[in-house]
Amino acid sequence: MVLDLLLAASLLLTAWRSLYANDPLQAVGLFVAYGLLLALAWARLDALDVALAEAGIGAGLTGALLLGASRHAADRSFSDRIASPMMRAFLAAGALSLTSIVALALWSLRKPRGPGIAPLVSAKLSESGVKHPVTSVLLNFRSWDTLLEIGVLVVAAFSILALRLARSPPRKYDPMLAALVRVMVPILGVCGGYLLWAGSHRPGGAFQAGALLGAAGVLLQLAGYDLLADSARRGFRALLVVGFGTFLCVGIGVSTLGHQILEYPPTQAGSLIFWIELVATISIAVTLNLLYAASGSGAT
Amino acid sequence: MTAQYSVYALAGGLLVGFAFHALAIHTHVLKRILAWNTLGSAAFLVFGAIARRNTGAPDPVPHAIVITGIVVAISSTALALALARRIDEENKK
Repeated sequence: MVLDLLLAASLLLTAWRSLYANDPLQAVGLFVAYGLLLALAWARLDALDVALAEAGIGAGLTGALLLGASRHAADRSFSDRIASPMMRAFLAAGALSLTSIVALALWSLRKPRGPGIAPLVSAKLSESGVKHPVTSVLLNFRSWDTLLEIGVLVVAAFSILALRLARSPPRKYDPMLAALVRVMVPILGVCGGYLLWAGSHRPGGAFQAGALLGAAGVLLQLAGYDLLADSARRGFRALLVVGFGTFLCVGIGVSTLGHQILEYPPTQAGSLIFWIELVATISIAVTLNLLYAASGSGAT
Repeated sequence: MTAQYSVYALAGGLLVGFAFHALAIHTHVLKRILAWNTLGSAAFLVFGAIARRNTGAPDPVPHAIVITGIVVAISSTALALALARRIDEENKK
């Protein structure tokens, strides 16, 4: 309980300092710290899958994107605020009332509500093909959400490609970085593979694995690999869509066998989910790398 | 469970307020993208606190949906940053 209170206080403090910082680098640094504290909060809330995703994607990769952008942000006045006093008072009042409404609504929900739908998930877990409840929800019971989410990644990737961003100048060769990359990339690859495999029976899965493999790709980009140069190739674009495409084909494929769309037959569900996750991990990792390349992080 | 729910729900509610205010009052695009991200993660935290209201194990459905949300958030952030960069490129011409 004391730990929870301390964690909540540090969350509020880092978020406040990050949101009202005058220096872009400071703001982004504090945002990453906030994200890591948030991952701890998720671990305290018994949501290890979310903690992994928040640490890897929410804090790590989002931080890397923002860090790249923050270097271009310094030329304009970062701390500019709306000048009109009346507008400022109005916004402060608006934020205060929003907080009060949210706090009141949440306060009214403070009584425990019984077991919820967790028992329903565990009762049907044996039909889902995996042994971990969160993976069963993500890849089976609510696979529509996950399918569309991978669709969002595809849309983001192709919108970015459509912007035809100018490529950054090549980086200077850095022997220290190159040595680090040679050690780290294989380790990240093995850890990503482990997380993917672990997702079937314990916290882990395609998104966490994709984040780690994405991090390996970000290191490669830092060491000089020019991803935007490759992005025009057909093979690269195929990697962006293969996850969504496989998921969609499996979803429609099972419907031709007399099931609903995305309703896997319980006997094959395990292997279908494994293949979807494997292919989705590749697409997620490549897409996250494209997102990183487009944020301008490569420019020096 | 109730105590933990209250702590994180309240923190999430306050974070929503901070982030909304920062989003509305700042004019720099990077600041707004940052505030937008914080607003999203605060909403996720509220959701996570609600998943903890259960007696017994926490609810896996909100957890799965928050993972989905985190990935959608990074997609929108990256697209916003790429658009901002493209606008900069246009302005420099």
